[in-house]
Amino acid sequence: MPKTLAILVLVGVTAIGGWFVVSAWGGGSVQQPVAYNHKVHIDAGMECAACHTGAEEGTHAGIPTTDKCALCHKVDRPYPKTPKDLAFYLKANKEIPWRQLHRTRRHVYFSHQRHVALAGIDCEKCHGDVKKKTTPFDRAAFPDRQAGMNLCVDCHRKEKVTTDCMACHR
Amino acid sequence: MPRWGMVIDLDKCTGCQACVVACAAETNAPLGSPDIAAMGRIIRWLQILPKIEGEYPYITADMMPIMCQQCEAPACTYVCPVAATYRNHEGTVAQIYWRCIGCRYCVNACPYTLKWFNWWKPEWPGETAQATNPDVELRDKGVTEKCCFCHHRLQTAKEKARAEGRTVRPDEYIPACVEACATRCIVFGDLDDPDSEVSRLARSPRAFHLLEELGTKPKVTYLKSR
Ligand code: HEC
Ligand code: HEC
Ligand code: HEC
Ligand code: HEC
Ligand code: HEC
Repeated sequence: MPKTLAILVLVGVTAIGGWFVVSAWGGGSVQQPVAYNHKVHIDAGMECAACHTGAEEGTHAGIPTTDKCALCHKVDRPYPKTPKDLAFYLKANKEIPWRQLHRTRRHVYFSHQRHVALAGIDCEKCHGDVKKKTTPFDRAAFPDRQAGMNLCVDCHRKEKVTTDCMACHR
Repeated sequence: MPRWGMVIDLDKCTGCQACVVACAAETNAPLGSPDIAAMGRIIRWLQILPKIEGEYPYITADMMPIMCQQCEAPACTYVCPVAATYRNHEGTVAQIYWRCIGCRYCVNACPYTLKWFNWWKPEWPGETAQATNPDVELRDKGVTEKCCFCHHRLQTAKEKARAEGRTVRPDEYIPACVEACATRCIVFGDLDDPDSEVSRLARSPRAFHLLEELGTKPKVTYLKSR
């Protein structure tokens, strides 16, 4: 019967569409190569800028290279404990292929130095509470999931910073 | 508040076109093709306008580098229906590519014909694709573009100055064409600073502007004796 067929198709389309929507908005979808844990490192007394070396005086915060991890994590030493996935990259002396999730587009000029060092804004404002994060990032943690123009312009208006299009766009 | 402007001394310009190359490389100008060139639709924000007078072999040739004249009364901004192009508080005429709807009103309104429309998807063949300047957007098909005085260089210069607690120094913000000019015939700076080289030269008796009679008040000044 064509009517049941139509209903079946409709249900199917809704289910598939709904799955896409949920997977896009719900939990994360990106798998990082190593089960990195921000909390244990922050609790151990590390500063954000020790690993994200550009966060205070660069445009890009940067994601640390493997030799940074090797300063503390040694494959043959029991402490700090080195999980297998990390040990693999350390032994092979290979860079960990981290997936960068926080990005702006090429036509936007954003600088960490300007916001972190000069304006004194906490990382948390834009990236959520990283200090308590026990799992690696599986999606961007911007307040609206992406660094859309609202995030920038709302704060700029509040702080009486320029909203000239040319300040951010290029 | 600075008001950025440029002076081009035609008595010094040799027409070597280093500025044209520097501009194209800095701002990711798509290469184009012979076919596109034949249609007159090659995009080069900075070009040399040759003016040949007399009859061969008794000719005089003027080589005139021309780019967006950064008008104080920019015709292009008056016709833009979406404010993608506007004059900002420092006098620079902006072009916000992602705001542009490609209506081409501004392209036609510009009396200098120095705004460019992307009729095709721009291409960077082979290795040139990896050699684009990451500080400048790759404009897409259907978008109008033009020279903005290498505004991306001002963004970083401003930040460096702010970090050191001062204002932008005149030698810190220089467009690519000025940097490349072998005879230093292009001078750039703050027109509102009475002591800057650019404002001194702009007041020279040799100074003139392109199509001055239109009242667009360009911030690019040319110098020529005779
Ligand atoms: C300053 C020293 C130091 C550096 C540098 C360092 N770590 Fe650690 N790491 C530790 C300590 C301390 C622990 C906690 C160990 C424990 O509890 O046994 C730890 C634990 C871990 C764990 C296990 C987390 C868990 O859930 O138990 C992982 C994974 C890890 N680190 C990855 C990394 C990576 C990747 C890097 C490089 C970006 C890195 N670490 C750099 C000190 C360091
Ligand atoms: C005002 C908002 C804001 C603040 C505050 C901020 N960030 Fe970011 N962060 C961004 C944006 C936007 C991006 C995307 C940047 C890009 O694509 O160039 C980003 C990207 C990153 C990345 C990805 C890698 C990279 O090099 O871009 C890291 C890591 C990062 N931020 C760490 C930090 C740390 C650490 C702090 C605090 C010291 C911080 N951020 C503060 C907005 C912010
Ligand atoms: C021991 C080194 C280390 C320290 C200290 C550290 N991070 Fe990270 N951070 C990493 C690594 C490795 C990644 C990549 C894995 C991931 O995404 O979780 C990362 C990823 C990030 C990202 C996501 C980057 C992206 O776009 O994928 C943000 C944001 C970030 N860190 C913020 C911070 C903040 C804020 C602090 C300080 C509270 C901090 N980090 C301290 C190592 C560190
Ligand atoms: C939480 C508030 C906040 C957010 C969010 C924010 N900014 Fe800012 N921004 C500031 C402040 C404060 C300054 C002034 C910094 C200083 O004192 O130099 C600033 C300065 C700037 C400047 C330099 C402006 C100038 O005068 O030339 C740019 C460019 C900029 N921000 C871009 C962005 C972009 C792009 C985003 C979004 C991804 C963003 N900002 C998000 C607070 C914010
Ligand atoms: C404080 C910084 C800031 C200012 C000021 C600003 N923008 Fe944006 N704009 C952004 C960011 C960040 C995005 C998001 C880019 C992305 O999609 O990730 C954006 C996106 C856009 C987009 C959408 C592009 C797309 O990706 O589809 C347009 C159009 C746009 N801006 C136009 C403007 C105009 C016009 C003005 C001036 C009235 C302006 N912007 C001022 C930061 C800014």
